[in-house]
Amino acid sequence: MNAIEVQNLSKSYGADFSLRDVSLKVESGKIFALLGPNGAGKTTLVKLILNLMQQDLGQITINAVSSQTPHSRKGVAFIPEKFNFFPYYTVRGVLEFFGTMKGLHGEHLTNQINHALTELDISELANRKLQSLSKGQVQRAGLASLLIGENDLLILDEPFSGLDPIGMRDLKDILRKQRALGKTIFLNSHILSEMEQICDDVAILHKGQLLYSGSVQKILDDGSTLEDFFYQLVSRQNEGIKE
Amino acid sequence: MNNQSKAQLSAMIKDTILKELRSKTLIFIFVATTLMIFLGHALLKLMINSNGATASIMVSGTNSLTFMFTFINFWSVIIASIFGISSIQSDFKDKIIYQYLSFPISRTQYMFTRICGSWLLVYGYYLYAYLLSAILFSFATHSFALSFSHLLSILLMGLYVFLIIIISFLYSLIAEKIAAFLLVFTTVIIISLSNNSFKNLTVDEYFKDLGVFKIFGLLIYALLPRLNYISQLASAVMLKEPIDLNLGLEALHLLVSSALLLIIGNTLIKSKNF
Repeated sequence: MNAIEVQNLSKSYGADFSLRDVSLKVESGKIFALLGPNGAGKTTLVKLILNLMQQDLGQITINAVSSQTPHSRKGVAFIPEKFNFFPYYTVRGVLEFFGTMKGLHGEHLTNQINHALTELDISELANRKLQSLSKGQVQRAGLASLLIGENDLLILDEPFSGLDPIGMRDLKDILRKQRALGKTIFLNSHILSEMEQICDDVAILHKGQLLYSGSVQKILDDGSTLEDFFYQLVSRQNEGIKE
Repeated sequence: MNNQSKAQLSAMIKDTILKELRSKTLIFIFVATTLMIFLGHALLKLMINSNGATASIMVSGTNSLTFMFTFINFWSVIIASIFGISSIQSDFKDKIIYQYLSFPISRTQYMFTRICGSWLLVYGYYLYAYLLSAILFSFATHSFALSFSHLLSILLMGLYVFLIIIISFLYSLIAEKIAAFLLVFTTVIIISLSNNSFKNLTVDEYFKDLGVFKIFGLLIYALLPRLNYISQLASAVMLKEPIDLNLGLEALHLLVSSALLLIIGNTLIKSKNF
C-alpha cells in the first residue's frame, strides 16, 4: 500500500507553474526524500499534501484517503523547517496539546510524552517554556512532537537544516527507528549526503517538474552517487531549457 | 460529535484563550477598565457626599450603572475587534497555522474554535467589568444595582460581541491587522448609520428616491446583522423601556444574516492558501 499517492498534480501562481503534472508514490514503511534545488516546488508539494494549499489540477491521497478531508491527516505528524509554536507553552504543554489534537488522553498521553522526551534527550527541558530554549532545543521539542500520537506517516520539511552534527546523527537514528516500527517517513531536503545514507526512495523535482522517482539503491548500483545523479539530471534539464 | 472531536475542540478553544490572555493589549484594557470603574465609583461617592443636584440624578445604583454600561459596551466592541482579528493573525505570524492545520481537524472547526475562544475571553472581560461596576455602585448608593433586566441585557450584549468577533475574523482573513481593525470599525459605523436611517421607514419608503448611498445602505440593512438593534434592545431591556422593534422579524433577520457571515467566513478560510 502507498502512504502517499500524487496524481497529475499541478499548481500555479499566476502565470508561473510551481508544479506541473507531478505524479509520484510513496510506499508505506519507507524513508522517502523529495529532493530539489531551491524554488523547485518542494515546499509547495508538502503544503498540498497537508492541504495547506489547494491544487489547480490532480489528486493527492494519504493512505488511500483524499488529502482534502481532515481524516487523511489522522495518522500524520508534520514538522516544518523551523518548528515554531507559541513561546509561553512549556515543552510538555506543546506535547500535551499535540497529543490531545491527535486523540490521546490520560495515562496513555503521559506515557507517550515521557517516551518522546527521553528519545529526544530533552526530559530536563520538559517544564521549560519554549521562549527560554535555544533554537536547537526548540527544534528537538518539535521532533518530539512527531512521536506523539498513533502516526504512521511522518512529514519533515528540511529537517537537517539548522541541526548540529550531534542533532543530525540523533535525527537519523530516530528516523531509522521509526522506519523499523513500520512508519513511513517523507522528507523534504536538499542535503543530498544525508539523504543518501538514510533514504530508501527519492524523487527529484526541478522547476516544478518531476525528473526522477525511484530507489536510491538503483542509483548507487549504477555506479553513481546521489549527488552526481542529482547534478546530472538538473544540469541536463537546465541545458534543455536553454536550447 | 465523538469524544475525540470534543477533546480537540476544547483544546483549541483553551489554546485560543491562553494565547490572547497574554496579550499586552488585553492587560492594558483590563487595567484601564478597572481603574475607570473605580474612578467612576469614587466620583459617585463624592457626588453623594456633596448632596448636590447632580447627586439626585446619579444616586440610584441602577442609573449610575446604566452610565457605566454604555462605557463598558464601547470598550467591549474595541476588545472584540482586537481579539477577533488577532485570534488568527497571530497564527499566520511565524506560520504556526501550519501546525494547526496539519492536525486532523477541518478548517471550519479551526474557525469555530478561534471564534468561540475569542468570544469567551471578551465576554469574560465584559462580565467582569459589569459585575465589578454593579458591586461598587451598589455599595456607593446603598441600593442593589443589579437586576434581572440587567442580566438579560448582558446576555443580549453577548450576542453583539459574538457578531463583532465574526466580522473581525472575516476581515482578518483578507487584510493585515491594522487594516482589518479599521475595516471592522468602518463596518460597525456603516451598519449603525444604515440601521438608524431605515429603522423608522416603511417598506415602501425603502425604495423611494433611490440614490447610490441609499442603495448601499439598503444592501447593508438587508444583508448584515443589525447590530444597533441588539444594543438598543439590550439598553431598552435594562432600562425597562418599551421596545420599538418587530422582535420576531428581527430575530429571523439576525439568524439569516449571521449565518450568511459564517458561510462567507467558512468559504474564505476553506479556499485560503497558506
